[in-house]
Amino acid sequence: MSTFIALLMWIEESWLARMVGETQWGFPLALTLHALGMGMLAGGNIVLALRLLGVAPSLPAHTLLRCYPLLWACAGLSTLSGLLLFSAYPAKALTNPLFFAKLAMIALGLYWLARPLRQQLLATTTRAPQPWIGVVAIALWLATITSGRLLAYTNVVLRASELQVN
Amino acid sequence: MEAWLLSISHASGIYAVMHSPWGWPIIESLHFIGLSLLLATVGMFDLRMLGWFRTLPLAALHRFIPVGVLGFVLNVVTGFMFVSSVPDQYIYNPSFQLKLLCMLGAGLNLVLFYGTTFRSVITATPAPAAMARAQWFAAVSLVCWVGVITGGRLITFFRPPFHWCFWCG
Repeated sequence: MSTFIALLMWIEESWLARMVGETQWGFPLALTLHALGMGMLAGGNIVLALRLLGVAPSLPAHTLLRCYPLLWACAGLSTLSGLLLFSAYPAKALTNPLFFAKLAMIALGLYWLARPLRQQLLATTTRAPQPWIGVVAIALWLATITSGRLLAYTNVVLRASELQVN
Repeated sequence: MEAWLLSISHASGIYAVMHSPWGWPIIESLHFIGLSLLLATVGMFDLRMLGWFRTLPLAALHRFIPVGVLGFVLNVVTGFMFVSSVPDQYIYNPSFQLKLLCMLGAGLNLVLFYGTTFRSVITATPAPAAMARAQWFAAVSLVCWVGVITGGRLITFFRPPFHWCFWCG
């Protein structure tokens, strides 16, 4: 048995994974929190980006920085609930390239929120000086949502035990 | 009800789209995009009425609501595509029933809010009594939309033959 499969099995058998995977409420609760956190995070980023593109011109763009703590809290909630979901099916996630693509897009999306998007919000009067930064943010979060949803359809295995057979 | 929904699904071509290899996941992705637009725009406006982000002007923040309406319309269309393609998985499903009930609650709350309070809170200096009323509408709205999303997310855990509805007999 390879170290990789042993590690996956260790995660699957951990207390956390069993609580998520073997109780009636664990997995549904984690899924619901993940949907709420991700919905607000992605939607919030899209709202900020739309402001850069000239939507709601009467709203002083820099005041939207007030929403950052909410968005970071949603990022935290999505990460925590995501870890719970991951713990129950680590083999499913780590054998799917799309999972890594989603993580990369989230990392870039959060960086985009913290730096370029923030700078543009501070510099925006009616429209942003560089609206393409908003376009990139929208594209990143739409792609994150789509890849997240497709994870349920593109996996090759569910549990680590299935990897040993091959 | 089932037969009627299915006949619409077949006649409109929805059934063929939803049963094509990537039809269901793509429509699900669009449904989540609509959810995000609605939750963020309406949620931020509600939180603002509850006293969050006080420096954001309420009337200007309301300019984002049409984006949420767009998300809602997208989700009514994509939602109908799910329900009409496999109606028995939804209409007897307690989680879907909870979702519809929460949508009804959100709708009634919205009509009452725009009918009684909206105009008096988007002024520059809203009266305290109007703001207090607005906070109730905001709280109900948040509870209802979180309920809609929760109900939607949990549909998959209540499959037939668990026909837990009061009219199924």
